[in-house]
Amino acid sequence: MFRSTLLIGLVGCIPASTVPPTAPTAAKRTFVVVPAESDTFPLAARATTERLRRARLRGFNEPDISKVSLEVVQLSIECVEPTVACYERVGKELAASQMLFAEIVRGPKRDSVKVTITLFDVDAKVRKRAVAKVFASEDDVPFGVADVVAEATKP
Amino acid sequence: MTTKHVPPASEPTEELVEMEAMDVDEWEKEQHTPVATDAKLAALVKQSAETPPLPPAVHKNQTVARVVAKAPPPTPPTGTPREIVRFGSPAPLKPGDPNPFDGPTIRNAGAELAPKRSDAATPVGGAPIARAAPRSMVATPAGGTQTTPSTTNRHTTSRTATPPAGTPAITRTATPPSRAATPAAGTPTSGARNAAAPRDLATPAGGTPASGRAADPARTPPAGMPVVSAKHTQAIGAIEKAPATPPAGMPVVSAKHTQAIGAIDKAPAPPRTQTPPAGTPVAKPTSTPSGGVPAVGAKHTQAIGAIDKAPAPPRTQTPPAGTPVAKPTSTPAGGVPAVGAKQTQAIGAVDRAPAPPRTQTPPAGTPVGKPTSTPSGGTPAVKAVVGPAAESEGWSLPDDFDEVAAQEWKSAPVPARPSEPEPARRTPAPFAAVAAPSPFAPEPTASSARALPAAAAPSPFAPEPTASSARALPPAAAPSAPARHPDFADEEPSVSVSADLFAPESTAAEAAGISSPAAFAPEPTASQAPRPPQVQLPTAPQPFMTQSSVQSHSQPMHVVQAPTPIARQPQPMPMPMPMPMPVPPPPSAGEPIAPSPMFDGSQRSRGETTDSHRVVSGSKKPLLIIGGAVGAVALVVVIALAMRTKDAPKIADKPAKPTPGRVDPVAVPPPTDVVAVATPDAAPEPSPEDPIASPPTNPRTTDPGTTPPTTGNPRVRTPKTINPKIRTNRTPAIETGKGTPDPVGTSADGDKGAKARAAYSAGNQKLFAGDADGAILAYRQVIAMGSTSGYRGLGLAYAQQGDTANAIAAFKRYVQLSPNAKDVPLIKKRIAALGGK
Repeated sequence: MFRSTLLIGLVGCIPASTVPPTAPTAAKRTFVVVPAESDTFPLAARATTERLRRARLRGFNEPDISKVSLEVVQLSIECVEPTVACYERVGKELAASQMLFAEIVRGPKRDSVKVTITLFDVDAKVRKRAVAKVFASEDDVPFGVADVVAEATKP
Repeated sequence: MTTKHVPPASEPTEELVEMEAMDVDEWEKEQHTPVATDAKLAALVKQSAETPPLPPAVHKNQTVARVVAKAPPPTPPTGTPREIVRFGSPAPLKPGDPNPFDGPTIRNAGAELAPKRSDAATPVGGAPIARAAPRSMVATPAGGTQTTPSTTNRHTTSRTATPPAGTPAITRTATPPSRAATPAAGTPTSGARNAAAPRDLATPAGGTPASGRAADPARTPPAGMPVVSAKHTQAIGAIEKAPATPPAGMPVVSAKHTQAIGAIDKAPAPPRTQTPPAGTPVAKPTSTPSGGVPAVGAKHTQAIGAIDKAPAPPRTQTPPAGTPVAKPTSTPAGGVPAVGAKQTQAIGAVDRAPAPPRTQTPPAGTPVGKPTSTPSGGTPAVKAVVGPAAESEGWSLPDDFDEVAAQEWKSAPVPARPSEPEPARRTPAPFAAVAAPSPFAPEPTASSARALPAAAAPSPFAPEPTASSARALPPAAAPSAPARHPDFADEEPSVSVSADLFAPESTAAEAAGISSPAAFAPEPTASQAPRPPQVQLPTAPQPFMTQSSVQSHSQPMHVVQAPTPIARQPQPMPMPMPMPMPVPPPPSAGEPIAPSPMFDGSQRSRGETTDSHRVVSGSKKPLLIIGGAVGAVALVVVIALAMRTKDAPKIADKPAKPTPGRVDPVAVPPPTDVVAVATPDAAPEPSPEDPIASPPTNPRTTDPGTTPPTTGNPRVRTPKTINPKIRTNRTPAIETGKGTPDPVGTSADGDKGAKARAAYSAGNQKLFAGDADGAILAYRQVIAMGSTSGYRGLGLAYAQQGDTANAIAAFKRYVQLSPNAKDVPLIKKRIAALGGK
């Protein structure tokens, strides 16, 4: 009895002793989608956010949807300029390596809406891609913003 | 070319229309009479002299009244013999001769065949030969007896009695197309043959042109000439019989004969669908009547007519039981071959008889037989009935057949009587094999049940045989498969059952002497004789076994295969054994084994090893248990060691060197000195009436657990959880000089400022993570520390919660306290968006 128990114990200890030390894992690369927000064009903002949620980026998992908008983050960190530095800070605040956000502003024409989708690389502090499209009206955004998002996230 | 002539002014005004105007010279040149030379005229005269005069125009639409008014019938001379029937031997038909029945009829006759108008002109000879007048014209012969055609056949008379007005009576008289043959004078002609004879006899002896003008009274042949046309008129038409008075010695075609032919012609055509029996002359007078014998064909015709008039049996109705099929109701008398009539009717009846239904059993007693073909030799159709009525008596299947069979089976305890003749009490083979469940088997009676062989009696659907019935079954009958009944030897059951599906009666097995009791063997009873060794093992009743016996031609091999001794023996299921276990040796022969009932009722010893009850040695079982337990412990140890080794480098690498460009999360120590930070000098003291700065006033953010104490309580509960996704490495101090200057840092100095920034950063983290309440609490701490940035954060948190009023108030407070901040426009915009102003 003792002998068998000892044998089994030794056998069980072998794997524990032979486990190789695990190499340090690389930092998790997170793809964060920041929802759009616009008080002037709420419909366009909602449609754009819906499309941003479906965006996928090669080499990343499904995106993490931020709970707050880009402006809220900027206000919170007291960095409201649309600069790379501010975007980098925003990205870091959101713990994102890749950040996808949208800007909805008034277009050049009446009732026109300009939607800009930006893919920002937080780690590289580079705006990787920014795609803008002007829609004739806010009602047209839901029908064409998907293409804009796809263009911004295509490899 | 029509031009309008304009007259000169001198002429009287007259509008003339000229057509092809010619001048005077031309007119004068052609003004002459037709020029005919003498030679031509002579030739023309000669030609016209040779050409026979054309017959007068035929008036088809001749009314009877007109004829009657013009010409009364002439009186035949007295003493003139009439109706001298002299039949001679008809001239044989030559191969080239036309069919005597192919003569032109009234329908296809041309204008020359139209009836001539007999103007009652007396021929030269004094005897009018033929009159093509309707019957009404001769209705009143003056002073003489009229030869009526009704003397021969009533059928003909009835038909000729009502000729339609204007019906042409002469058919062949006017169509003598050929003049080649010239019979000798006085050659008698017969009616049947002379029907086609006019072509040959067109020119009688003496060179009198009789063709086409025989009916013409102006061209009456002289005495001694055979009156062909008149005879043929009567012969073919048979409609009119003029009171012709042929001269003495002139052979006249017999009216009887003519009418006989006419009767044949007018006899109703036999139905085409009916096939007359062999030898039945149907409208084909190949036999020449001789000696004035009435045409046999007439009677044949009558027979055929009887066929037509015979009521056809309904096709969809089965004749009632016992009714002879198509029994001739009327038999033509007078030498008519009744056999033919019977045959015909019988055939017709057979043809019209409905086909026996395949799946429906005719009523009992109905002579149903195979619809044989035409009975030969006048055999009545009834003879074709196959199968006695007694045998087909039980062909109906009762609805409650199974119950009846069961009752019959139970109520038949009478043993078999060996003295009874075997064929009488033995059911025919197909039915005997079928026994109870066969749909075509006769209703099982007591005798039949007794006579059932053992192989057929017990079926899965039949009740279990009683002792008496089992006793009644002779062991010798067990092999079953009795011989087929001779009456049904050549008949196959109408229901086809696949022989492969059901176990049949054994024929080969019977021949080989192999008993097949298993398939039909009854359940063992107490009084049953000892069974053969093949049936020691009770076999499971095979379904449909009795139905298979319907097939009299079943395969015998099934019977041999049917009694599988392993029917009830459970199939040993192969149990997968993980490891071979030692089987204890069986007890010795001398050791008594105490039988103990197993769960299935079998008597097995407890130590006996079976597939399902394998006894495992007890000495190995604890070892296995111990081994399993030790293995589990070892697994736990391994897992623990693995986790330890996994955590070790992580801890070791932690302080090594941070990744450039990436800030690793750093555990922020909870601010223990919140109270110190939230000093009144650090931030403007919120007034008690300020709804933003005083948390208890906000009902939504009121949390007794999280309400920061204003005074007295040095410890403040810090948030326990931190969203791992949100990096918490932010310190309250602004590290980058490019960003917006931190109002918190500006408002707080020294350690207070650092603490305020830490609290503010914690509020942001909670806000980004969606924890608005935690963010509000954190922002309140910042405000308590004297930083104005807390109002901004507090406004954002309220806005995220949906508390618009507090959000607006916080924003306004922030704008009020920091009017020169960079983000004031955005704050004002948000206030406007929230509807504040």
